This record gives sequence, C-alpha cells and structure tokens, in this order.
Amino acid sequence: MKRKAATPAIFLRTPWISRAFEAILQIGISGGDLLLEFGWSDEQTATRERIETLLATRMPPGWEEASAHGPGSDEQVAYARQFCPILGAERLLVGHWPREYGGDEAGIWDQYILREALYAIGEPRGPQYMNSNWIGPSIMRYGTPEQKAHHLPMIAAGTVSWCQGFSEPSAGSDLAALRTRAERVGNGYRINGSKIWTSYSQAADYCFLLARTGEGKKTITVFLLPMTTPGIQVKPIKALVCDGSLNEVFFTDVYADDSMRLGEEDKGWEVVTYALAQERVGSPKHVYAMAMLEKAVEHLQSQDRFDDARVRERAARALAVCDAAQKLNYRCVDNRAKGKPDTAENNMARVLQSKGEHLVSDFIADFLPEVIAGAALAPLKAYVRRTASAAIGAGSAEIQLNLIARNWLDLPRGE
Amino acid sequence: MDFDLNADQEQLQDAVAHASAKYRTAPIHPVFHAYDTDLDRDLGQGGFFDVQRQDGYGPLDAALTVETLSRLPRCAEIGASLLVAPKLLADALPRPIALLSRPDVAAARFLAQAKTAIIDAGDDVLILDLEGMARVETESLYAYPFGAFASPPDLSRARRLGATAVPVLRQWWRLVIAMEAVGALQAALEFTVEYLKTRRQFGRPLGSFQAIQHRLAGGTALIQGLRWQALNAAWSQDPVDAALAATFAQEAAQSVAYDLHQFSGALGLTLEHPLHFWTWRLKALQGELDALHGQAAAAADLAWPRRRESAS
Repeated sequence: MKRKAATPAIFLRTPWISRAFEAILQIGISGGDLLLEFGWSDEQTATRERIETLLATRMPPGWEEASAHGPGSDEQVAYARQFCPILGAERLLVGHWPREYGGDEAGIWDQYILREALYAIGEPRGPQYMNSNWIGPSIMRYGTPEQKAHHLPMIAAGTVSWCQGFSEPSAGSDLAALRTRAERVGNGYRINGSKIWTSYSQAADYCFLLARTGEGKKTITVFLLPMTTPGIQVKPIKALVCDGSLNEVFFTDVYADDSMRLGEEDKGWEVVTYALAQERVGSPKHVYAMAMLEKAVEHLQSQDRFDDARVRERAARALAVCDAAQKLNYRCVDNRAKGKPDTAENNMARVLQSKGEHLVSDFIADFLPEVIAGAALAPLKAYVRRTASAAIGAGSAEIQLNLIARNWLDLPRGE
Repeated sequence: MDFDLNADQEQLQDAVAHASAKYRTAPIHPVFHAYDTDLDRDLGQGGFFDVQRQDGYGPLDAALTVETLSRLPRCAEIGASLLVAPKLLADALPRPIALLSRPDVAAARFLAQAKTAIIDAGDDVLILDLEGMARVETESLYAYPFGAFASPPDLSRARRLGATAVPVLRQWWRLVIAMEAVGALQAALEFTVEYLKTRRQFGRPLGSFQAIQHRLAGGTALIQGLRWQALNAAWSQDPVDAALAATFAQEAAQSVAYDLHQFSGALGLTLEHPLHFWTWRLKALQGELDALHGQAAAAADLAWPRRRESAS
C-alpha cells in the first residue's frame, strides 16, 4: 500500500487541526513511503515460494514418520542430518549469516520466513535450529579463527548436532546459580558437574557448555565441548515430552583444552546473554500450533464431527490466540530487522504463543481424545506431548511476566 | 511488513489526540455514562469522521483513529462512522450512527442520539434515517448511552443495500468491537498501573506484589497481541482477520476488565473513579454481535467449511 500525497482540505476547518496537518501536507509532498503495513514485499513472497517449493519437492522421504517423534529423538536427529544438508546446499540453512561463513546475508525477515515455513510442517531441522539461530552467531562473535574455521562450515553444511549445556538441578530459571565447575589445569580445564533437561544431548556431537570458573555469581565460562570427550555420560530421562527431549549429562574430570573455550575466561555471561538474545526473537511455534489445529480440524471434518458449534467455537478461539501471537511476533521481528533494541513485546509474544499452544493441545485432547488414548494421528499425539513444556522451556512464563512487569509496565520491584 | 507508523499516520494520530485533548478528563459529575456532544461536535468539525473518504487514507487510518479516541473516558459515537459506514456507502450518512444487530433489537448503543441506524436484517442491510422517529434513552449500566425505539420503527422508509452488504457490515462492525476494545483496554490498564505504583499497603506499593504484576503483565500481552491483530485486520480487509480480532477482543476484555477492577478495590466501584468508563464500555463490547460465541462461530464459518470430502 503506497500512500499518495495527502490533501486533507477537510481537516483545515479549525486552526488547531490545521497546524497539525501542515506537517502532513509537507510529508505528503516529500513522499515518505514507509508506513504501518502488514504485507510481504515481492522479494519476501518469492523467498517464501522458493522455500515452499523446496519443501514440497526436495524433502527426503520419511518426515511424516519422523515428525511423530520429538526433535531430540533418534528419528528426528537422523532425519535432520539428511534434510539440513539440502537446505545448506541452497544456502538457506544459515541464510542470514555472512557469506564468508556459508550464508547469503539474507535479512531477518527472510530468516523468519524460513522458520515459519519449517514450523508449519513441524520443524524438520530437529535440533539443528539452534545451530544457525544462536550457536553459530555466538561462535562468529566470540570465537577464535580456528574455532570459526572448525565449527561454522559444519553448521552451515547441516552435518552437526549440538546440545545446550545450561540448566542444572539447582539452576533452572536462575541460570547464574549453576555449579558445574571448570578448574584450571595446565593449558586447559578440568570440568566436573552435571546438567539436566539437556535436550538432544544423547545424539549431539558438541555441547555449548556453561561452567563456573570463579566465585562471582556470573563468573562463568563457555566451552564448545565435543560430546565424545572422555568423562561425559548422558542419561535419558523418561518424560511426558517426546523422546530425547530430557536428559541428564554428567561431567566427571572432563578435560577441555584452551582451544575449546569460547571467549575469555570468566566472561561467559556476556556470551550467553548474547546467545539467548539471538534465541528469543521470533520462534514461530504458533505456526506449528496453527498447522496442528488445521490437521485436527481436517480430521474432524472428514468424519463429520466438525458441525458441533462447541467444537467450531473452540477451534476459532484457539486460532484467534495463535493469530494474535503471530502478529505480535511480526512486530518483534520488525523491531529486530530495524536494528532497534528488543522490548518486552518479545516476552508478550512468548506468553501468547504458549497460550495458543495450550489451547490447540486442549482442543485435540477434548475433541480427539483417541489421539491421546491410542495410536491414531501420531503427529498430533507428539504435538500434545511437546506442548507439556510450552510455557516452561526457553524462559518460563513467569519469567516472561516478570520482565513485562518490569520493562514495559515499569512496576516497582518487591521490597 | 512495517510496524511503525509513518509520519502521515503519526501526524494524523497527533491531530486526533490534539483535537480530543480537552476530553481526556473524566466527566465531573458521577455518572454511568453520558454522550459528549462537545466531543462529537469538535471531531465532526475537524473532519475526523471522514478520514476514510480522504484521498490516500484508508481503513487502517480510521482504525488507528478509533483506537486513539476510544482511550478517552468521554464517549461519542466513533466506530460506526469511521469504520462501518464508509465501507457500505460512498456518501456520508447523517451521524451519530447506531448499529442494530436486528430490526427489533431491544436496545442499541447510541440509538437515542443517532440520526441514522444501520440495521442487520439477516439477509439485508437497512439504512434508516431516524429523523422524526421517537426514541428513548434506556437506563443502561454500560458506559455507552443505549437507546430504544419508542414504538416499532417504520422500516418501509429504509434504504436497502441488499444481501451482499450483510457480510461487509458484520466484518467492519467486528473491527469496531476490536479497535474500541483496544483503546479502552489500553487506557484502563495504564490508568490502573499508575494507581498501583502509588497506592501503598503493607508498607509497599500494591504494584510491587507479584500476584498483581503477573496478572497485569498477562493482560498487557493480551492487549498488545490484540492491537496488532486488529490493526492487521484493518489493513488486510479480510473478514477472517476481523472475526478473529473480535473473538480475541471479547475474550481479552472479559479477563482484563475483571482484573483491573479487582486491583482498584472499592475505589474502582465508585462512579467518581473513571475506571468504569472504560470497563463498562468493554462489557458492552463483550456482548455485541452475540458475544464471544457469536464471533468465534463466525470466525469458524469463515475459516473452515463444515465438512471436507477427505482428510489430507
């Protein structure tokens, strides 16, 4: 929608309005073409079509089966190792990265369009979404030339799996309370401790590990640790959420040499803050929720079970929340694309997204109970399992609400 | 995608805010509601009801204007004139305009003050000139004035727009619900947040209690999501988007209005406190067009056919 020069003669009847509109007339003449609008540019539409065509024609067989498992499952990790190289060869896997690291210098919006297209079919990158979103960018920013040369090509090619060694039994939402310790020994460190809830770790090649290296609360250091390093043990945890989603990882006298340290010793909090900021913007989980809602509705329609007004109403209410989450997410992506600082709108988008995920999950539970009770529609069943953690993972809903209260409403802290 | 207002849009909203600045205070006398004829007159003289009919302006500008004006504690008919009438007819109608969900509706917003009624007759849209038709203001608890016909109206005089106008009327009426809710929700929330920063109990501001903060923050997420969803519906002019926005508006209005009254305590129950000017407008919006279930049913009808030949 392009705006023509405004000619608001009708507004000029009273002096106080006339003054305000003088400026409009001038702007109209100068032809500012930025304006609030919600459409996609031709280039963005072309990007989306290119991605959707690729997904329709180049997906390796087996995604329907793999998508019935969680992103950390052996099935999805294996699928991602087939699928991600195809995206990599098209320079789409890390499209937003600089060219020197295998990217295409695509904009933030192109990255988001890719994510939406992938989430709409259940995110076939499996655990590898982390690699391009924040692990690679963190290595680009804080890594040595050797680390960049070693890790970034593998990530760009789609051949490597990572896990995130953050949470611990005593450090969940309060991440800085972590206890896993790295002690200086010779030209390296001896690491002892444990991590928990570590998604994808049983199949990961590397761990992006946080360990304490000093006494201060935020005196921590980041390591890029091969999971084959002696002394690492992964124990899967049986859980409501899908296979491979939750694990314990134990570190017993694990030796990491200096080449595995990312950034300076004791300066890891800066690295992790940067990494999490990359992760927080624009995860389109609401698109996945909408796709699962659509699948549930299609199934009910095919069985003539979608005539009931209660069913239809609940479907629309779930869609309305997912739609609002999507628009608020777009707002956040727009902020980021313009290089503006992140706002608490990111946290609000997360809150709405979780609400939408819960509503879709409850819709399936209430109107397709056979999905949960039996083996029908396995991808929907996997989705219901995944949403058990919707408001818990990547910063719990309560943390999001705290940040909105503090940073948007400017409410006083508790005394 | 561009989520910032451009300079034209900002200037328009500045002008709207400027024109309405003196109406930012609540009425002095404790009242449930009052039609502010001065506000109506000033907006009319400024040409603000004709935003959509100006070259280069469209429904998005009108929606932003409705949002800005719905933040006021004062009340005039805004949404029907700015968002509905221009979509039904090229020429301006005498206003204020009342929207009637059926010809025999018991009471409707602004019907006592209106000069025109736009009536959803199911299979037709009627434009009724109310000149000479006796109406009474009803004893409404809502913070909009409501009115009723003193006797059944003579619909034979009405101009008929035909069946194709029905979905148009409902689409833009839903956007009125969403945008007026956005304005009222934001103003009510901001007012209450400021109160909670200063009101101290147990030696600390009420707004420092996490039990309150989390509900305010949750409400903020609903309002901001609704805002962008509704503005998108104005931009896209898609009936599904409008139905989803109205669905979410009626859902959000319910929980947020309840919370804001809860946190304002007994003070918020008095008519001297302005909160009810927003919250009891929200309650009226909540019940409009068959309330939440009506909007959700409409959204479902628009988004999904009832049956499909085969599942994919």
